Amino acid sequence: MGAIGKTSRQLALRDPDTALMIAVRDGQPGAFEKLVQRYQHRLVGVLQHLLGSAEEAEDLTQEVFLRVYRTRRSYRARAKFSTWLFTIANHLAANARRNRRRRPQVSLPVNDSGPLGPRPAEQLVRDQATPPPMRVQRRELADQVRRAVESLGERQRAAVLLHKFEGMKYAEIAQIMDLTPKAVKSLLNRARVNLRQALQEYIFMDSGPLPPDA
Amino acid sequence: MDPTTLTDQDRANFVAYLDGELSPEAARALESKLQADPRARTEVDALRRAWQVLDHLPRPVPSAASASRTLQRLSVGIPILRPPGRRPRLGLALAAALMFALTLGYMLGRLAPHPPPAPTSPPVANDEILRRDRRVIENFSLYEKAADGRFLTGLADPADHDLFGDDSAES
Repeated sequence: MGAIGKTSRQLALRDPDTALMIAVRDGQPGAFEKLVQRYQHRLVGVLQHLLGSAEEAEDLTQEVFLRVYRTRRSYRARAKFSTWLFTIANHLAANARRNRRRRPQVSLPVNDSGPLGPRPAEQLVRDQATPPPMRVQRRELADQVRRAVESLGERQRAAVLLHKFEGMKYAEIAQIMDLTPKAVKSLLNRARVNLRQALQEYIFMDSGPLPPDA
Repeated sequence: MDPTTLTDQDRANFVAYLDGELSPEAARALESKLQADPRARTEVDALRRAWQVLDHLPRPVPSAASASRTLQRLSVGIPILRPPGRRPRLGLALAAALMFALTLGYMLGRLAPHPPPAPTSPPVANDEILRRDRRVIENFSLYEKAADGRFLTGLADPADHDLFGDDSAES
């Protein structure tokens, strides 16, 4: 490993992905491939819900990795690697949304055959393993949850996705979204109240929450 | 005011409390107020359950070839994709600029006074342009697909480290 600063060294000790990114910077073979494999799914997962398009999410994920690779030589660890990566992703997603607003597109309703729907093979496996009534209930619930998340404002949605699915603390989300932790707290508070209202019918089911999909 | 009565500030802290983002003292103070207020407890419980229901949000899965496509793009040094919708505009701009240059050259050639033919006279302007840009014209369909001009000019310069640097060797 090449010479690194004190902050970078401390972060690398605490965060294995920061150490991996430093290895990428120093030209260690295979390090970048590992980062791509570790984060590809996570980036696509968040970006697809932010942008509503599987294709755009995959393109943007590629763009994020290309930027990381092209700027690798000047990398200095100042935050956890995931925070840095999602900051880039959030900027690119904001740009993509801005471009989209300049060129309005006709969007088709999302359904099971759409980009946010399950892929056919996955759906088949799920359906075979689940009794029909529960299958319908689960699909309906998944659809309602997706609608509820889509109904949130862009910033609320981003904060929810980063907190719920990336398990990020308010301070990390604040860094990614260029906000104060207090603003993130308020954003998530409003988002949670909106979600509770949108999902009112589903949160007190007699049998409790359904098991999540495998 | 009754110290067990919930304030607006307390209500604004429900989510931070559930997320473990309150200080230990603030969390303890809120808990003791919640003990005394069954309605507030129900409210907090509804927020907690709504968050749990999000577990049912479909998790997008990238296509199987997605990661390998990313790595492949790095190894061949393809320029960064522009956001969707901008590429066709750039391509069109390049094509339009090229067409304009060719048309201008042709027109100048037509309008310019033709000196009497002499063995030593220079070739007319449009012939000059056609000769100089023959490769561009022949490969126009390929140039049209290029994302930007810098990439095209970089191809002609083996010293361009962005295109011919050590990226592929390290990836």
